[in-house]
Amino acid sequence: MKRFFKKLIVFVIVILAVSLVIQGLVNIRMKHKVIYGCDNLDVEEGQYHDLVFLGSSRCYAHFSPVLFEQQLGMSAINLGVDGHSELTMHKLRLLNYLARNKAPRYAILNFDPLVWPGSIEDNDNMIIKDRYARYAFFPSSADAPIVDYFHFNFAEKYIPFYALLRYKLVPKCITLPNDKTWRMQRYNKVDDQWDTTVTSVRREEELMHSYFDTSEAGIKKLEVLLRSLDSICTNHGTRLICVQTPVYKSIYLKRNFAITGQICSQLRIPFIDVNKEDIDTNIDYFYNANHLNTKGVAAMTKELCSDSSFRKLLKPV
Amino acid sequence: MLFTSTAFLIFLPIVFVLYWFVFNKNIKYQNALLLISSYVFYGWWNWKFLGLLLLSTLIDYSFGFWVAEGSQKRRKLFLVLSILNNLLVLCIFKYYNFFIQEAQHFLDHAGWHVHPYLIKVVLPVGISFYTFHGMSYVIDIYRGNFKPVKSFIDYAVFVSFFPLLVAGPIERATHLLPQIQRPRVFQYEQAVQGMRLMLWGFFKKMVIANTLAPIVDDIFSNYTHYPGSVLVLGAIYFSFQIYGDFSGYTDIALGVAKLFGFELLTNFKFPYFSRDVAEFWRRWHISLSSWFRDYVYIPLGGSKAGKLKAIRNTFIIFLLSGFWHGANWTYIAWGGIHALGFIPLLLLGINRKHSQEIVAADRKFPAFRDLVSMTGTFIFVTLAWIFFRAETIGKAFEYLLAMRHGLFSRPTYTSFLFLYVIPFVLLDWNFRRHERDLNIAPRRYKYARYAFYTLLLYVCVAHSGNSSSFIYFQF
Repeated sequence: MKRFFKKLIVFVIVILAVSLVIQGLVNIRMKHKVIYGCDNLDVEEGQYHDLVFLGSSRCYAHFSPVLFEQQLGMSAINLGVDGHSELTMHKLRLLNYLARNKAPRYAILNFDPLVWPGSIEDNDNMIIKDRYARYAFFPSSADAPIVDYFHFNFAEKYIPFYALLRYKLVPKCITLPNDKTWRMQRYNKVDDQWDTTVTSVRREEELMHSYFDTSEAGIKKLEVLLRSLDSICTNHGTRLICVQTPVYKSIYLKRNFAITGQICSQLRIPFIDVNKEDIDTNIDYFYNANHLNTKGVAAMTKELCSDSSFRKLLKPV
Repeated sequence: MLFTSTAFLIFLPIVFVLYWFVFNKNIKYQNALLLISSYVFYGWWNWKFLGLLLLSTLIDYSFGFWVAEGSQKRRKLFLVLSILNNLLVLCIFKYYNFFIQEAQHFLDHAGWHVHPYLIKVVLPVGISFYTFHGMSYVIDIYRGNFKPVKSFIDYAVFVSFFPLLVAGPIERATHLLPQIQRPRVFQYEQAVQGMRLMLWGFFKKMVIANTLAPIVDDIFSNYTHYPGSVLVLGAIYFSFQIYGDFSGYTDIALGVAKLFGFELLTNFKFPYFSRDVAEFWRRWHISLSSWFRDYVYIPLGGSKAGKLKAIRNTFIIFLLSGFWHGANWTYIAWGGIHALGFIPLLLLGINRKHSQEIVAADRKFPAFRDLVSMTGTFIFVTLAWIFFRAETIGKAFEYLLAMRHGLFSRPTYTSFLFLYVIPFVLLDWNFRRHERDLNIAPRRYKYARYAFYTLLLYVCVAHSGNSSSFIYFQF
């Protein structure tokens, strides 16, 4: 029995030691790099940007930091989180950024009826959990809230190499296939055009129209969260600006898209709707009903940066 | 509780420590612990069915005494009652709806429209296994092979021992009960072998079966959209999915039992290296086929009562074996196909040609003749699996017919063949002479072995996200 336990314990210790070494090597390899793109928590540490963009995949696909830098002469970073329309996630993402970097001057939140409140305790959106598994092992105090948001379990947090293996990150950690492209583009640049033979306009309409939560309780929760996000910004000397980026005209339900403006107005947060006719009626600008492609992003950036109310809010450096 | 769950990862060391360190002084305490642990293990899935398990155990335990004593007529009566009782439990929970619906279809055709009552209850996990344990116990006592055990706890452990409770192997009282009744001594070699078996079982389940499962599901659900080449791959993948799933479970069960000082019956012996269907059935789900052989085939006269009776008996056990798997005509068809593959061998008197040695036992590679036989057997078995996997017999035929179109087109999903199936076959081939000892290198290269175990462990963890239940739980 002693021999069995001795060998078993030695075997476990050796495995843990090997795993720890591998975890360390992988961490070194991944430091300040991205695997997918929006797993960019530690990409820029101790740096300063004038603008940070917050939001879901719509933020991640719509705000090109490069274009904004060119148009406004302000440095920018896109903190959009693919697959996460929860305002809670955007708040956590901002807090994570603030914990690592100097506060920005402006936080631009992509705020529209596709956003829902979400909650830290009951989060069940695990769609891109694997992308954040790289931060799961002994998370830093800055990353811990995001790691907890994805409910990484004890083993994933405290057994070296476990989360990386479990979420099949190892090959990508070695090859880092998206790092170079992301560094050049710094947002989710999509050149494709909407292929309506694959996803029809009607299908997208049905999907999007059933997506909006216009209930009183839902709106109330959004208000509470938006207020808390605004106070975080205020406390850091950052100005929060809400921007409603374009969706294809047929899913732009006026009643729903007016609600976001009303919420912002109540909370006295500046709000700009970029759903202008020359953008949202042009199908060539979209790769699906609610995401702009490269052409659309260029058009939207131009439109937003030339918007006098937006320019008034930003004082150029 | 699933072997691949976190709960089991905590449960097993707790029971192990209690078993060897706290209750090791007294076998009665050890057996009581095993019984409680087994009920916790089973109740973790659905505690409501614990009552059924307990009742079934109590009834067979009582029948054990009744068939042991008295006149032959009385003993026979109790034997029949015991078998009927077990079959009744199976019929109610597993086959009732099937029989009723089939009767309804028959009456519909005859112009009688009836609306029978259907039972809305989930199938208790492992019911086919523990009822077969009970039956074998009573039959063995009736035959005089075994005396009824006095201790109810010992008997209850035999029926519900947690490693084999939900998916076998189907144990025999003559094999397992003596082990339960005598004191166990911890043996290093046995425990190490148990750990290796568990590791290999986890690999088969988590890496092979769970990876192939979603692909098989996709191909079998959308077989009308895929070319024949993909359908062929789907059938091959299912062959390995079910093998990885079921033999993986068995390996874990055997390994866990070894940790507690028990040797369970071997259930799989590299079935896909069989050279004919008869050999396949001596290597696939051995505990079930030997159960049917000993308790159905031989009592019916086996192969010694003339050729016609041998054919009849063969059909009976294969059809029963198919039906045992589930209340669906597809399983019966699967059994029937295997009977059709077996009977020519029986008639030619070559069904025992490969009864002992594993293929190429004394060489590295198989002889050409063996290779052809193995390939032929594998193709036959794989085609039969289509019936096992399909929802209806009609769909199985459609799947088979759809294979003709685009048979030579470039298939999708090929990467899994090279990444999973072929390496797995090569590993299994390498282990065939050592009974899954995971002996990839001579004893003196122990570090190579440990490196291999570590690699297997890493690969298992990397695949731990693809969770799915064990296929044989539903049987």
